[in-house]
Amino acid sequence: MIPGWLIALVTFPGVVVHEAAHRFFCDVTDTPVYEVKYFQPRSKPAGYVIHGRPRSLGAALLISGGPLLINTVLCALLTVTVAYRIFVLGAGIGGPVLLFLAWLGYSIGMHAIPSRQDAASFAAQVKEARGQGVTLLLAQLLSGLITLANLARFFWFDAIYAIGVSLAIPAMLGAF
Amino acid sequence: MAIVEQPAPPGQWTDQSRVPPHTYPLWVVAAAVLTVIAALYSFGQVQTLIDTTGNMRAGQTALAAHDYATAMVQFEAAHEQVPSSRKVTIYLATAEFGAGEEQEALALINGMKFSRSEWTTLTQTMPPSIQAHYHLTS
Repeated sequence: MIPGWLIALVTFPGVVVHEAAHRFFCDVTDTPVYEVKYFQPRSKPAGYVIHGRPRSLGAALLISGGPLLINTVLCALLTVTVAYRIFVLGAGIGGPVLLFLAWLGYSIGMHAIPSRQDAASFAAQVKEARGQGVTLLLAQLLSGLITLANLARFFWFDAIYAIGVSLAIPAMLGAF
Repeated sequence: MAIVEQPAPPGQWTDQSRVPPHTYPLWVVAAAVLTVIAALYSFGQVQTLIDTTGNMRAGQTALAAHDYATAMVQFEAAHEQVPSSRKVTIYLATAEFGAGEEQEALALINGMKFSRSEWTTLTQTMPPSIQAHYHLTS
């Protein structure tokens, strides 16, 4: 079994983008940020953002789910060429530039899924905002899904997710 | 990981300790710029890959119709665009065998080992006399 800190070290661009996405959405929703660590090697967690209570459930959703959006979009864009070449045309990665794009893209994609702490933070907000009907139900469902996705990390779900995302644009373009 | 503030002793985590919004370390900004440039570069390659796939598909259709001359033109265009595409190489060689251009086809696949499905594609048009030179390995 590969230790988590080693995976985080190899895929550190993903950690940085993940934390930057939290930070960005804190700023966008005017949520105070008290401390940010974009990446700390050989530590757990590999990165974190300490912020104040979001003003609304929507803001909490954006902050917790921000990395899912940003990391997924970046992964899809960065890996589209590599995925197209490998999975559609049966060509190799083809040179250091594409190798760099593959490393960067898949690293970012592997850190798209919000962490357990993100899910816990969001769940706490959901709990506080009790009685908001459909929004609350959707929020609880999302919180549950994040928790489930984190459990599935044991089966390399984060890597499977990144590969799946990399195939999204070629699939949308009818390549398969 | 995002950690939500918990009730803290008075005086701690006041607005004074708040990180000024929209201020990022220079290295994060530089990394973000590099990432965006890389993403744009990657996405910029897509049109070529779409064209290559289009040529490959057109070639496959011509190959299925035994129109080897048209298939060769399409696969050659695809091969020029992405020379390292194994799939296109196999199809181009298949079309060349079909068109009777055996030397070109053999030059193209020289030194290659084939999977079962690649061999099935090639042997659609590869003359049995040439097939006899290849051996099955596990």
